[in-house]
Amino acid sequence: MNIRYLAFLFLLLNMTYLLTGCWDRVEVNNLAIITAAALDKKDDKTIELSIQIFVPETSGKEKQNVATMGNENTQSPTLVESAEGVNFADAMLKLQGKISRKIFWGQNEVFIFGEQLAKKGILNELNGILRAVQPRERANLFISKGQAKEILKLNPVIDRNSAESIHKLVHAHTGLEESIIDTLQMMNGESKAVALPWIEILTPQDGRSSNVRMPYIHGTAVLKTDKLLGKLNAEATKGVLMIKNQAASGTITVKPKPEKGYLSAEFVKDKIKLIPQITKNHLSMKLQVQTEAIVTQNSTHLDVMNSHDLAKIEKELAKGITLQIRKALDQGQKKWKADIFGLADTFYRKYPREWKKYKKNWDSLYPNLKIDIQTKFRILRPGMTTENPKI
Amino acid sequence: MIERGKISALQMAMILHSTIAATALLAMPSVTMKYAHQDMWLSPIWASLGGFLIVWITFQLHKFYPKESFIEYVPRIIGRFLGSIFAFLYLFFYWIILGDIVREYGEFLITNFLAHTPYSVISGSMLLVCAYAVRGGVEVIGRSAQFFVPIVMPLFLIVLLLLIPDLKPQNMLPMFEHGLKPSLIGAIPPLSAFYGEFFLISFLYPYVSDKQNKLRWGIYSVLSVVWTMLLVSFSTLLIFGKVGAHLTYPLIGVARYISLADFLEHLESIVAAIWVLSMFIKMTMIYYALSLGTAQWLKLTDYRPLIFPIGILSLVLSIWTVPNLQVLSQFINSTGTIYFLLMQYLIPLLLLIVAYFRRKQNQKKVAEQA
Repeated sequence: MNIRYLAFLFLLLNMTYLLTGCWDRVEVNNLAIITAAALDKKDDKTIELSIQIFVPETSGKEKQNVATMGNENTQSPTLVESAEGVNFADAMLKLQGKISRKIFWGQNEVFIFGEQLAKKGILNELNGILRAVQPRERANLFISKGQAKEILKLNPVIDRNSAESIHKLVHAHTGLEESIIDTLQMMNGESKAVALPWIEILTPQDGRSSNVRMPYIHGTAVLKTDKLLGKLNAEATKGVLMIKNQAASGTITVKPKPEKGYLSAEFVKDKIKLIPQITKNHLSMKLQVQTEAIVTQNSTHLDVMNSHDLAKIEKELAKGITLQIRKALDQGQKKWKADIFGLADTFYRKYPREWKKYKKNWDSLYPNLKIDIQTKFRILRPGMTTENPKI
Repeated sequence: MIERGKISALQMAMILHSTIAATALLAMPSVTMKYAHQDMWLSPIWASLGGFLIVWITFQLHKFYPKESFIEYVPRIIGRFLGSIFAFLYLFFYWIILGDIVREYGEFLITNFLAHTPYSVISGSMLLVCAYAVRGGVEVIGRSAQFFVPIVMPLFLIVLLLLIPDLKPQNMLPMFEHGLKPSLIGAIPPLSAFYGEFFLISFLYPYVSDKQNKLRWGIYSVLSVVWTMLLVSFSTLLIFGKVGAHLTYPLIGVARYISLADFLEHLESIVAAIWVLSMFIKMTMIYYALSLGTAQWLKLTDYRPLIFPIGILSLVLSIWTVPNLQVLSQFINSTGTIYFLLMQYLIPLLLLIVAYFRRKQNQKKVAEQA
């Protein structure tokens, strides 16, 4: 009994050896938490990977400084570091060599590709990001005007860092929201084209504080397979958002024909249905749009409270929506000839057998595809006033 | 009888559920998607027919020899000499399987979570825990399954529930693009590698206490595995679409994809918890079948002295037979398929036929004598 007891004790003591080693021990204060990453083309063979690292100690004090002293020239709470390499993995390795703390990708939700790299193609780097263990499949992708690194260096005063600004912009739905997986799905799909949000730098209006510039999403980048072709402007982006069912909110302003003023409405619900049709070897597309909105400004003589006028207003607004969508479609079909709306996939899903015939010719069919837009517009509420007060 | 413990039919079903679902959760979707594309959710349903078949075959065999495990009654069916060889083939088979499973367990944790921890520590410590459970016998395994399954299932459902906002049902379309063939071909890997493991039920039948419910709970556990596989297939397909075929562990990707209200994110550790808990049951079950079977084959009075040697050998085997994950998946997709089908479907079926005719002949003899 006594010996068994001792043996047991001996075994227990031996267990403590197992507790000493922990190979994958991670301490937060040994991590360099990445908030955003940017990839740029360096030369024909190499890329430059830049990362924005959150600097935890200063950010607390920083906020206080800004709040109490209103000092604009305070130090940035983030650090931007970059390294070159032949690909993402190589650059990542070299980047780690420059930074004392262990790089941690788990919190990064923003990947920005520079214009030049995007023209060369982003698929190889996307595959590298997906294969690496830490970066997330849900991280959002962006294309930036000029060098993507510049976006990381920005220090927007209203947010902690530019990554947070971009993240918030995405959630405001002023531009597209496309994750790595969404993008790969589009590239792997039938349409072989992707639309990604386009980032530019907003310089403040008052020249005084020119060092506080902010990133903003301004338009849509058009990629065929994985190469950047060009961009759609902000106006056409509104249409793209609607077609992709990503327009959570938005406003439309129209000028009804005989009237002099403008009419604006903010939509609260916006749903679009893409209905592909194949009849007698002829491909066509029907878009059914359903929009519900609230009137936000009315400087015309039409009365929102009058049901007769209301029908007219709704018709005019529907026309405006149709026009907005048409603009986006035209740019995609005629100007860039890239199926960024995923129309090919809708054909493939509905007519898998017939699609095999058209698949090869899609590139020539798509620019001339007849697309019929049917918009139903409904005004839910007049807003806070009924008729405009008159002078 | 070496094993004196008794488990309930429910415990048996829970052990089997964890045993099959554990690896199927992580490994199955990308395999079926490779062959069946967007119809991959059908494949586990087709494959489940195999699961029902095995449960039925082993139950019929069990009815012929109610108090014996597979290793014990094989010599009774086809003669002592041939039977012993066959029994050894099965022990060898489970030995390889145990090696594979140990490797898979370690590989998953190393790839996703513990990049710098040595493989032998991860797998060795798990095998040590399993060895302890195996020493406890079938009752301990049954109880740990009963304890862990109610933890694992809600965790799994939580992951799936939080995914609902991100599901894209259009990824399922077009259905049956190339007819049913792709989904049937996609059913082969789950049929051989996953549902085939239901054969382990033949080691549990003799120790189930409520005799009436044995078959019924066996079938219930096949159904619950089908259900689990369906949920995993759907979540992978509706989130990743065809890209899912390129992911090593789609379920981890799916869990990482969760993002609710900007703070409920990064939930992959839940998947790790599910994996470790169900893999514990799985490894213990195979380990137990191997230890008990070896003792029965050698006609020993106790299987406990065999546990540690078998554990150490399995750890070594997991490094020898599976140098890396690529070799393992290649094995499962090529020779492994035939091996699994042969050992878990074909031979048991032939044995059942032989046993059936033997029984008839015996009855005739008895009738003649009378």
